[in-house]
Parts: sequence; structure tokens; C-alpha cells
Amino acid sequence: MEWPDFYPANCPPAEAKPASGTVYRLVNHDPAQEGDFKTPFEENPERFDNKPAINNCGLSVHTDIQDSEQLKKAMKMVPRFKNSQIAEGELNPTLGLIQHTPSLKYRSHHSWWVPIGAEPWVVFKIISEERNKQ
Amino acid sequence: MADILNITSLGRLKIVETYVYYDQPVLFSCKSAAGHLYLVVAADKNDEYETWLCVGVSAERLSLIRSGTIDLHDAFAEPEDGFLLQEIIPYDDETQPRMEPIQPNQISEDMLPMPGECLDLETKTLPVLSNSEEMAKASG
Repeated sequence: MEWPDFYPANCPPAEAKPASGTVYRLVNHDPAQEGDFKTPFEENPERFDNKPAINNCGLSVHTDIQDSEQLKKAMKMVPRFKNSQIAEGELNPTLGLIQHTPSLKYRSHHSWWVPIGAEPWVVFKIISEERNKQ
Repeated sequence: MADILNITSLGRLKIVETYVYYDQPVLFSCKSAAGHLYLVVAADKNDEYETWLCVGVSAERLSLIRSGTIDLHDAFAEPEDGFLLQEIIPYDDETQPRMEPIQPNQISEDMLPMPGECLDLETKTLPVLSNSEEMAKASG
């Protein structure tokens, strides 16, 4: 698996496992687009002093949809994401490595590192609008 | 989590507390080397650049924001200093990020947190006094 050049030497971490299972992620486009899967460091390396850390090379996903729903509500405080929607994706090992990185509020938070050439947006489908209608 | 950010014109800031995290801190407080506190939020993004809003806050005001006494909208729309800072970060590598002071009335509502949205974090409060003797001591 080939990783982006900007990943630091210890990234992804040794504890990360092959990606698998159903995960949820907030995206700003319907359908999800490549831009919804760019890491903070890719978008803006200077903000991180051009020194990538493991965390800003990974993407946030949840394995429990309730965590994503809670985060979507919290995004009313964050204008850039206040219109974001929840997308569901079925991961497989070709899509990289994943590690459980829970926070106090979001116990199912995982960090996900995506290799060069993968197209993660293809496996994600917006589901939040469907749930809102129910 | 990255705890040092390089914010245009403000230099290297240490994150004090992250309130919302999504790939990175997107709503957080941070402190400059000189001890100035800022509240920062991811405000907007388009194909060409992203925009962050930074507002200087006193420790007292940050405490009121943390507890939810001041909502996030007013935290940015009614800054203590009368202005806030807008950081524009182009995705084009050849264009430098820029930070500019901005008056609250120049900011589109779309770029502000929704009114009524609050943090709800525990804050340090004085202990409850249980009797008149303690109250007398406390009032000096």
C-alpha cells in the first residue's frame, strides 16, 4: 500500500488495522466528492507548520451513527460544516488503515488513513436526509 | 491531535481546548506566546480558499462562552474588542494566506455559528456557602 509523500515516518501507526466495516462521515456534497476526503494537512500544510502529524493526515469516521448524528448537531456551531450531511460507507482493506481513537464525547471515533489511488468517495452514500424524513 | 497551529499574522498558537473536532479542531480556543486568548472557528470553504474566524477573548469571557452564558454566535458577532480577525487561506500554493481585521457587521450570517448554539461545559464556580458564618467570612 502506497501512502502520500507527506505522511510522517510513523504514519499510519503500527496499531492501525485494515479498513473494514460500516462507517459514517460528515460530507459537504451530495453525492460525496473527492474534496470531502482531503486531510487537513493536504488542504493547508502551512497551518501545521509544514510538519504533518499522524492526526492531521487522517480522516474522522464513526462506527456508531449516533455519534455522527451528535456531531452533525454540534456543527450548528461551526459554519463551514453546518450544512454537512451524514454519509455511510462500507470500508474494505484496499481503502487503507483505520484505528479506534475515541474521544469523551464520541466513543466510536476512528482515524482513517487513505492510500494513494484509493477513491473512498465512491463507497459513501448520503443517508442523513433519508433519516430526517423518517 | 495537533496542539500547535500556525495562524497567519498571529504566529504559532497553542490549542487550549478543542470544542468540536472533525479531522482537525474546527472550533477551539488557543493562546499566543504572549498569553492572548482566541476563539477560532472554521467559517467557510469554497473551491479556492477556506476562511476561519478568530476573535480575541478575555479569560472571563471565554469562561462565559464555555458555560453557555454567551452563545457561539454572539461570541463572534459581538467581540469584546469591537472587531474580529478573518483568516483566508487559498488552496493555490502561490497565494499567501492573509489575516484581516473585520467588523462584525461585515460578516455574513452564513459565516457565523447559528444563534442560540452554546457550549455547555463545566466551569469553575465558587463553592456554595452553607451558613451565615461562612458567608460573613467570604464577604470579608
